[in-house]
Amino acid sequence: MIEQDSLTPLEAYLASLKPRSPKLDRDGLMFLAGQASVTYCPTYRTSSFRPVMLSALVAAAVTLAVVTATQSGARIVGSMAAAAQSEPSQERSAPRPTATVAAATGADSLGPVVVWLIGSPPAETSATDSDPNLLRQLKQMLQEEAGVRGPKVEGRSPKAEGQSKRTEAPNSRLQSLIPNP
Amino acid sequence: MTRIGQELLAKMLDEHGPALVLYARQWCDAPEDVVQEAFIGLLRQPREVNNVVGWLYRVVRNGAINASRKASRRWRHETSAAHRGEPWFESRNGQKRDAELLVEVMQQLPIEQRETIVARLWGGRSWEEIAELTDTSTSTAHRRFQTALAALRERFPDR
Repeated sequence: MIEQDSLTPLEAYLASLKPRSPKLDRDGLMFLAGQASVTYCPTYRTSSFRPVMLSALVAAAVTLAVVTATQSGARIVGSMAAAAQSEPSQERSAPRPTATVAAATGADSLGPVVVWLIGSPPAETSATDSDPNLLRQLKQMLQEEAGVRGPKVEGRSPKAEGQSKRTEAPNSRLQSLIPNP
Repeated sequence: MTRIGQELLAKMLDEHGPALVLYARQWCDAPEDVVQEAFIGLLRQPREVNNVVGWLYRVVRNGAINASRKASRRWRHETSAAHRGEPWFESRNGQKRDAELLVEVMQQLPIEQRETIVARLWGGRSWEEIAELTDTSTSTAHRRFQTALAALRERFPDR
């Protein structure tokens, strides 16, 4: 309110007339005020507490998920590789499991989840399995070797000795065709 | 900055409610509704309000003007609102006649002078606040006040 001393007598008299009391819903306003005071929290509203906390929790959850997936994947691959080494004959007959394939291709470092997502990579194949020309050459050489040697007879003739020397040449060729591991 | 609690709201209702209703009455015929809405808007403010009383006067002014525009009776609406039967002031001993005379004189004043004199005398607003409220300069607000006061002085010669 303005100070009464600064008013003229007329202004002071007019100001002394009180405006009529309004018919306001006082209880409703009080209820709203109480409601607003309960829901209002200046710390949360003015600070960036909630976004920072949410970001930190999301980052922690993602990190934990990646670490857990990687470690469990490596553990599974290790155990399956050990089992495969202890039973080599069964491994040949049985289909190769996905985890073992992943271990062979290096996908085990990403974990089983990634292997499951991207699918199992093609199984390793040797050079002899994949190259039909090489197979054909090998087969031809083996046939030649089998046809030249024939059955072993004691007291071979000098002619037979010469033939046995000639058979060593295909063996050396065979060795050269087999790729080194 | 202030956040409105129940105690502060009660104090503001007692101190500024009647003057706000009188201020809104200069435009519309339902001033209580306008003031009520203004207080509700204040309580629902997401941010803290710096000058709560000044904010209330501005919201009440805008609400009263909007209410008067919405009314279908545009013909001299300010004057017709002033002619309503509801008394503007409380009737005390020996002041009833003066209160009626005051209302009668104010009804004949332009709305700019009326709102200035109400905001100054019963609202207790400073010249700067009135100027900001009415979008004018302080000198214009002061001039309007003096003009209205001169008209009132003619009707209250012994005061």
